Amino acid sequence: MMLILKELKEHKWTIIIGILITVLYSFAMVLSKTKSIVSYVEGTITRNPNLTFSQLSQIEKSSELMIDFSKTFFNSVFLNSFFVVLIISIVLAVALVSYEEKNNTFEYLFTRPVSYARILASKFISGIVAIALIVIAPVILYPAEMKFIAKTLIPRFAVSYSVSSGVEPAKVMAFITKNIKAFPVSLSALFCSSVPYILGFSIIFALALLGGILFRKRNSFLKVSIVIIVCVIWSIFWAYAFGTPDANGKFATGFINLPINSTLRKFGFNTLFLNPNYYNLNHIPLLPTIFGILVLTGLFFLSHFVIVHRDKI
Amino acid sequence: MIIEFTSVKKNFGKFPALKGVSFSVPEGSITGFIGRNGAGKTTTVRTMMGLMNYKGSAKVKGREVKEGYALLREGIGYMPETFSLYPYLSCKEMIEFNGKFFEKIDYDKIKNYAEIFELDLNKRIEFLSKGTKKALSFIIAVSTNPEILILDEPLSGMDPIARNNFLKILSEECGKNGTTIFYSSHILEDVEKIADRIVLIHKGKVLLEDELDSIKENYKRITVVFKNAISKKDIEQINGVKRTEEDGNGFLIITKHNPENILEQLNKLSPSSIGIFDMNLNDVFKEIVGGEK
Repeated sequence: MMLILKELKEHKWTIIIGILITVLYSFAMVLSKTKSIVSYVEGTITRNPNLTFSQLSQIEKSSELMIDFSKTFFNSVFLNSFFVVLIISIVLAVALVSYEEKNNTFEYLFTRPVSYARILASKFISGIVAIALIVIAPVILYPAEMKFIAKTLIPRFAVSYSVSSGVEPAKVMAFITKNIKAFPVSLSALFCSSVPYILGFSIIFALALLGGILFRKRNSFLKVSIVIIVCVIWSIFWAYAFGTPDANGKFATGFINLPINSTLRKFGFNTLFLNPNYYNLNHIPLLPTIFGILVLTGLFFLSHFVIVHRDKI
Repeated sequence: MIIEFTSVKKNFGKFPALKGVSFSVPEGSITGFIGRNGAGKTTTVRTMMGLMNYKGSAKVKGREVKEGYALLREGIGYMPETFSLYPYLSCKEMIEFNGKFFEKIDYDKIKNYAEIFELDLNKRIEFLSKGTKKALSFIIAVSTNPEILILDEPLSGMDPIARNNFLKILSEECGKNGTTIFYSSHILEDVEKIADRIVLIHKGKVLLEDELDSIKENYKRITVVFKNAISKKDIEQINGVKRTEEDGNGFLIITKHNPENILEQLNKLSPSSIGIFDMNLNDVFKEIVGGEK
């Protein structure tokens, strides 16, 4: 525990800056979307003053009022929060190795009565905790999105609270007070829905950490460049292989026919199941979670193998 | 033997840093591990601490370093050559952080040694001078009352007063607590003050391993002048002679063992004058390493 706390303390600025970037990025993204949705809805209602309630609901549905967590992190726009967090995950992993290398503190750590596995685990866990904070923070901190948290368990196309309240804190607080009973449940639902994202970024982080361990003696620029290239290529393949959301909010299947695709299809699965966006937001998607945990475990043992079988400093 | 190295080899790429190093360290001793820069001292120490992969056998407390070393390190205090503590912590925070790794920490000892080295425990590590950082590193190493204290070039960067305090504390640690001290350095005057045993490494090979007293007994400088001309070869043939320098009828002889026998043999050659002198560790080192081109 103390090693995890040490890592979090050591890299607090990377984490804080990571949270700030994603929060600001999400704010900007959701705000711009909200504005266009409001004008669209207002324009439609002005042009058709005799709309029925069900017709209004349909407009809400089609106007993509679901400004939700998944869209913040994974949409059709290339440069979205997904790539922002991807880069932050890589920087965090490289920093976890580079900082020790720069200060010669690996020599200190590796000569304490503690196993190499524990040292590595502390770096893994602190990285995953940091990523979890960075992933969840933009959703929790965005005032209008409080509505999303509270309303997760009811139909997702309900009139967006973002539209009616904007980002006025007073209104948001009033809303939270009104829905206070639903809040903890919805918060846990939020956590469940973010698990695959956290795991996804953790895999990228673990890959970068392995890269950092392998190229420890090279200079930082080279390390960062190598891991960014590897991870970005990998992440693009991930999106293509496992499916991406299309323009209608549905999910297209992957373009690359990986061996795992055909194997899974034999058992009635599609690799689309491995894309977290495929799932509803109020439960932990089992398959991507298991997949993520397995990959992470594999990367942990691979990193441990590298540490044990190479010179420690 | 608490530390035992047998034919330990270590290569960095194609460069052989250790070429079959063998030596042993008895429990409760202060072993001076000496050698020139680049001789393989730090590589040996790092191998001992489990930081390097190697070929051969390196045992500490009877267990191979490669296997399950985390538990063994509980009883080891280590002070590396290069400073390796967290710069953003204060000395006090660093000591507390280190204490969490060990079962017992002697806080009285820390306070006492901090006073001796005039170390402000509230100061952040990044603002400490080189010598004070070394002192902190040493305090951390001894604060756990280790069975074995492994020190790699501990005195570089320390002022003369701090050095004296350091050596005094080392002797006390060994005397009072029975701590085995493995002390790597190329500052031979300091080693000579406290070590009771010497291991000399040169170019990745151990050239000398013996008790310091025994080394001093065996390595002597003899000056002898003969009335008649004596061949240099005759002297070199005497058992125990390491090196001979000729100057007319006079000779300077360096012995490597059994100087009494050499003296006896020389007296048989009827010298006009003969004298035997002690050599310090520095002289012995030069004789051994200087002969190795």
